[in-house]
Amino acid sequence: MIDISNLELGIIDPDSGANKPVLKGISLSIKRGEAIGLVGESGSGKSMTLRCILGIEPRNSVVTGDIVLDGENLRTLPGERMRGLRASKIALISQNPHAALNPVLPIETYLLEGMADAHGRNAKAARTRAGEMLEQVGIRSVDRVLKAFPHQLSGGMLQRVVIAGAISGRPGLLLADEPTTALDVTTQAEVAAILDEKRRDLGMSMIFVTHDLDLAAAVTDRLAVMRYGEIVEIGTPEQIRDNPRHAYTQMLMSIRPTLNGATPQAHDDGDSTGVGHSAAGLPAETEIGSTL
Amino acid sequence: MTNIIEISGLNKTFRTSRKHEPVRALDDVSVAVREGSCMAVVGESGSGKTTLARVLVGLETKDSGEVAIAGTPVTTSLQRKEQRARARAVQMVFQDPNGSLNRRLPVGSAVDEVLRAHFPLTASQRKERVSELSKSVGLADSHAQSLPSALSGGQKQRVAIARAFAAEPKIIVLDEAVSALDVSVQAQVLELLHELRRDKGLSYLFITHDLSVVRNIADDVIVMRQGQILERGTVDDVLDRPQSPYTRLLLECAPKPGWKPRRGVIEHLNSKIAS
Repeated sequence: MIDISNLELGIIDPDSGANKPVLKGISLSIKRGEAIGLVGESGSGKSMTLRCILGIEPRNSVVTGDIVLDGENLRTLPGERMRGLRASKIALISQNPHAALNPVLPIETYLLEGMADAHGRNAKAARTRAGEMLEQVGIRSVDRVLKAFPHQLSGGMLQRVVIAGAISGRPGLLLADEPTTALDVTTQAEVAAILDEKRRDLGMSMIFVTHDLDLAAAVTDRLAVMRYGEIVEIGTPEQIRDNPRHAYTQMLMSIRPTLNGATPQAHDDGDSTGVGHSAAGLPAETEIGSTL
Repeated sequence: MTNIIEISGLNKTFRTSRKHEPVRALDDVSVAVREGSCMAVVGESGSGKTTLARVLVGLETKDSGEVAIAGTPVTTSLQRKEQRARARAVQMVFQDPNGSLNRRLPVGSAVDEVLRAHFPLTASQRKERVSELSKSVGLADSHAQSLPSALSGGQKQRVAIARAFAAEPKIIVLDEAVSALDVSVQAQVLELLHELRRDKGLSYLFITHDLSVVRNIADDVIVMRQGQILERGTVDDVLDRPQSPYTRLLLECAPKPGWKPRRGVIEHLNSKIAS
């Protein structure tokens, strides 16, 4: 479905011209219908990987490597073709649904726009379909929601609307960037279940970015653990949970507070001295192996 | 053991607009926090947990009910001197340290401000105290000169904690204070909070949505929903033997190893709570 090979991204400092590496050679293959979780802490490059797939990396960044989606290299496609692909083959669900929704337009317009523009449906068929999509993501009062404006709906409701919009065009690849992080825990469970179910039903591939290992494990087939712009370990959720191989994965598993009361061990990753962090708040390279 | 915080029958209503029904943010809330203990307040958005904290620290007025800190009732008619004493006794740490730090002020000066407000110290005494406080939260002396923008999220939260400790309070109210931190940084900050409590005999009111964090830090817990306390008890009792269907829902929905999200759980339990 999608093959990412040796993806590197550096951000050029406008003053000094220095190249700060953010992604250091990401390689990842995702099969059709497979879901993969990108997990890691802030600055690990998980969101930046998604931005490279969409071709929306920050300005003054230099990207090398290939991202091949169904035989087409996204990194070398002309802009118009890339826009076409973004409309038909790739969908993004981000942490903040307001980013996807126009605050002055009702939900109906948002859903119809996607279907009519990208998929050439006529307005009436699209309207019926929009209602069906909302039902599929567990929205009961379809008519009310279609007429509502984004500010009138809760975060969980909006995220369902965005999921409905994302899957309505049946894209082959779903990119989900912390889609449930801003939601209450009960709403998160509901929205994650909907996302998981719909993706499976439609046979879509998914890249699910999150900081929550247990959440990622619940909705994906494989996990890729990222740190400082590299994938340190890839495995099934069971393997990562029961038998993590990389020292960083082991640390992630051991330090998080758990419901059953195992006491986490604080690890000194350099935060207390400040040497481990750059000005941007991104953890710099430090060897954590010595603290294990 | 005496109670450092006693809240009884607390009510607070917000009127958002004429069109909407007033929101009962706190509905007959009573809580007692034992001196030296950590009380967790758990709930989802709109549960009233933050309003409870804001009333306690005096950022919000109450409609009715009693609040007492260390046996002294807190009323709106407090004299200036008493207000100052209360302000010192109860300190707050918020989720986003950027909101409590002035981005043009070096973080050392941010801590120094608190000392100047509350203690008659000379400049050199204050400097020494800032250095002590920085050390106690695991920051190097050299950080005192840094602007917040030069620090990581975890470091900024340590500064916010140092500021809270600078006032030598009896109580620290932590409102989602570790929620935005990466797990490795969160573990360090939780460890720091454990240490400071052990060493100084402080009491915490710890507001969070994260039950794993509750298990890690708290002794007792109250579970809130729509302004009401649905369940209270020791952490082990509430998390291991939850009585309220809502607490069970929260526990069931929290991701854990081997967990799978299920559709319809919320509706199922909502109907149970309603009945």
